[in-house]
Amino acid sequence: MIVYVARRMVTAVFMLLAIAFVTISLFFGASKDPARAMCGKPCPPETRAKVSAYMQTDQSAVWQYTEFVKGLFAGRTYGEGTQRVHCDAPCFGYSFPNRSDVTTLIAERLPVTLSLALGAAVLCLVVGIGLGALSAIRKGGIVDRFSTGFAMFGLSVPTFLVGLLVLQVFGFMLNALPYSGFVPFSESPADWAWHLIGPWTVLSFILAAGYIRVTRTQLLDELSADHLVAMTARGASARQVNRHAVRGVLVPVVAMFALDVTALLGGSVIAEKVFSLHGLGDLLLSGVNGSDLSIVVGVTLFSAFLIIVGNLITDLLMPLLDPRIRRA
Amino acid sequence: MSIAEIRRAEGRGTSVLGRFLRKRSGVAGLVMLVVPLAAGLCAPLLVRIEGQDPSTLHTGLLHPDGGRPLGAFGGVSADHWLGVVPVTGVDLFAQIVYGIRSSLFIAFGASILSIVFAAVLGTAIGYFGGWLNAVAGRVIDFMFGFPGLMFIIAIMAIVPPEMPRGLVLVLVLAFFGWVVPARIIGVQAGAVNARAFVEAARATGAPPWQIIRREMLPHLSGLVVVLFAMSLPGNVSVVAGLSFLGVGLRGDVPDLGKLLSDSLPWIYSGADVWYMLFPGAVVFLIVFGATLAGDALRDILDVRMEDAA
Amino acid sequence: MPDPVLQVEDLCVSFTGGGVTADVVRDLSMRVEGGRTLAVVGESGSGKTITGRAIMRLLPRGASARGRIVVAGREMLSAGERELRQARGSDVAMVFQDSMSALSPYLDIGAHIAQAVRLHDPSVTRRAARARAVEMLDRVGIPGPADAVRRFPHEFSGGMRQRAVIAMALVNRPALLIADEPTTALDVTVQAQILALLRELQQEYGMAMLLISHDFGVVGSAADDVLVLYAGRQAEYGSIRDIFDRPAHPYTAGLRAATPRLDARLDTGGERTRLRAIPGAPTSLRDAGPGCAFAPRCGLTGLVGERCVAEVPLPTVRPAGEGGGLHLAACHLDRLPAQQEVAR
Repeated sequence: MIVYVARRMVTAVFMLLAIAFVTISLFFGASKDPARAMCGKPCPPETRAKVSAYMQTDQSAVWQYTEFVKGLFAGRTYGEGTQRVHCDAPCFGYSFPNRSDVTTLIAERLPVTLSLALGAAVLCLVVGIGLGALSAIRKGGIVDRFSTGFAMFGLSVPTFLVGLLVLQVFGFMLNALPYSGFVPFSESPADWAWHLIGPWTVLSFILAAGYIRVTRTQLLDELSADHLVAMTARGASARQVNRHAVRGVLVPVVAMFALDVTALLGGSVIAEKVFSLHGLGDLLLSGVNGSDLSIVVGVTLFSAFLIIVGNLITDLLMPLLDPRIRRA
Repeated sequence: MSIAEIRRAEGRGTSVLGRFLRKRSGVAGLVMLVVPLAAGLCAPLLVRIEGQDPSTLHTGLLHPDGGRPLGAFGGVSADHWLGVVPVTGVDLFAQIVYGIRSSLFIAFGASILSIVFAAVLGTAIGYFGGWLNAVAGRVIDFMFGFPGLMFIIAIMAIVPPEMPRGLVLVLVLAFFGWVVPARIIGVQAGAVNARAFVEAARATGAPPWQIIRREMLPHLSGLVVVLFAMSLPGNVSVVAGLSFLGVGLRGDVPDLGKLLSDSLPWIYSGADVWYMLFPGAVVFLIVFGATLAGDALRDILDVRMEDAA
Repeated sequence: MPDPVLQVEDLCVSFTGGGVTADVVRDLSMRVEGGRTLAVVGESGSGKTITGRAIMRLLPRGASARGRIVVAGREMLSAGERELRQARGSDVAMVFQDSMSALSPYLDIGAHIAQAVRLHDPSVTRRAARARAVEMLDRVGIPGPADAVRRFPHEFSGGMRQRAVIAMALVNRPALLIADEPTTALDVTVQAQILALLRELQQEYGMAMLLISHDFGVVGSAADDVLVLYAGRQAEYGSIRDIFDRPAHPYTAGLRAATPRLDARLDTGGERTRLRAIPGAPTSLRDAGPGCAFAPRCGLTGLVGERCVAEVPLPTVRPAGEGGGLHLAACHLDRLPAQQEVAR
């Protein structure tokens, strides 16, 4: 078990380093020079070279990569003398147009994205597993037919389209929900939830579909599985048998959730745009529009970090559900 | 033998097309997909029939104050079948049918590229196994760590202006699109490879490529077709989504996602909902139709993919 | 006559679905005493598995059973949920055909057996139950039992898994064991080992066994009595010698002719005999007519005539061999013609 945990963690770290390498060499090796945007107009070549040296974008991709990784653990300093800026560890880069280190920018936006993603995750798991289980128990019933259609719909419709519809119908036509804005949880939990209902609904509408399907097929398999009949034959009560069936359903659901962390983050980008929330996706888009590569790289890598951490958590959760893995 | 099994056994004799046509959801999906597709392909013709073009401004049809279209449904009339775009007064129908073209071309291109690559790689994994399987498995795990959409957005940010964005989109989508299909095909190909008839072919001394082509591919083609059909709606969604986020196609190329993105302020203000609803409905038709058709195809070809996830 | 461990009287099992009711088992009666083995034989779909499940009240959704089933003095069909739970696993246990799917993939072998122990005696500690599991694995001939309890089902070979399933079924010393095709999924050499093990444990525990099988070879080497099922009805019942040497139902005779035998050459003076298939397919329950269910496939209806398609034959007493015992057959023919003509 300890070996398993250690191996998972080492793999996660290596994966993160590899993704960082690909990302940094791709972006800082790209032709678009981030110094040009900072230098202003007109931009004489010598000024530009200076700016570039200051931003440390004149170095090779490998150098940039090692500096970035070093910065993550030890912080990083740009320029000298009065122009000196320091970026504390963990440093995800420095955004010169914003005069702020990317870590701070991310930290400002993180509560929004986390509220959005975690809330949506909970909602879609509850709805997905609930509807899936109900459809399996009453196979062919009203709930089954409804949720099969719902799943088909959710699997196919693009996130932003659902978002626009929810916004239009509940935000503007019915005036039932706020259509933008974010209230921190610490300020007012009720307002926080109230403002997030729309985005949560949109995200879980998209994601719940997969869980409905998996739960339904898996539970149907489990309910007719011989090993559960065998358990009854040993004298187990219906409740004990059901509790065991749940485990068989949870294993694939958790495995699926690991893959959906990515979809959840991607979906938040779109939900943030639709509902004018200022989260990580909005930060990324602002970096894209302002040609601020530090933000683009920083946010991308931070998202990779979130995904890998999410995967790690599910990886560590799996052996609790499926003891076979503990032995591996 | 259950009734479903009997039906399936009876159906085996008839062609895939015949069985597909007997499935109502599949046919409905196909129609939903094909009608917009045909409209996109015949865009110049349709627009000429309508008597419009995708760039002429009709400022006369707009409210002088604020620029929203005059008349019901966003200015729908005999001249402008789906009304006009606010502020510019460009014909919306023309924008939409031309927009279908770019979105669908990119999505098709990306799907074909990624599935062909996935099929080649997956078959190779299944046939050769061993170290190739191990290496490919690592690479696939690595790809799963990428924050897909965010990475695509980031890449679209650094595309040099001289490169065609459409082509870059195809490549980027294909780059992320091969991962899951390759894994599914790999698992399936491994299973086929372990079957007795492949063993028998190997025992007769047939060369690898012949075994792959004659013995394995016929058993994988159904899966490949289904994976293609299922990757298509996802790619249409992402193409539209990227344009919606403002990082997709640029310039004055008409595009469905861009129309939807531009419609945002108009639904915020409630001034012109139809600007969003018409292109939205088209995107929905394409994506939903492709999903329905893909699902029907999966049922008919009896492809199981759950075990690969 | 000692009290039977299993007594079944007029068992009917019917499925209801989509407004249609279909009988899959009809008017079945049987009794098995301690230490004896009754084999239930039939083609797939003849209702033999359902009969086994009905005895444990493990019928799938939509199925219902009527009649009377008594296991170790307990009325199973009228038993309440609590009483059923007590009976299952301690009075009557089951060995399944597919040992892989009969074991939960998430529990190790020891947990399965320990669960069976603790479900019937909660006072046993976990540790003691695990110890019982080790003991039991040793008893069924699994090498290195202390190690084996910690293994998962997928880490076992088919034969070892089936031994583990037997250990799980027998840990509470049931009075009756229902073995549903216990050797079908195994290699022939392993089949023989498993049958020998079942036989041995049966002698040791003095339990009754209901052996469900489609394989006349397995039945011949393990059963004391045989019940031949056809389309959910009793076709023939008798001691193993009566069934093998004096079949009184054309279906039994056909089954026998379709089974390879070493002694067949002796009977025919060393000449090769051909195995014969029974023509036609098993009768579908849906189009069961008023007459004998076997009539469409029977080569002998010509000897009886109209009655075969008009009237259901009831089990009647037939001559038994020197061992005595009951021999019943449900056929309008009083005597089958000589061997060679039977399965033409």
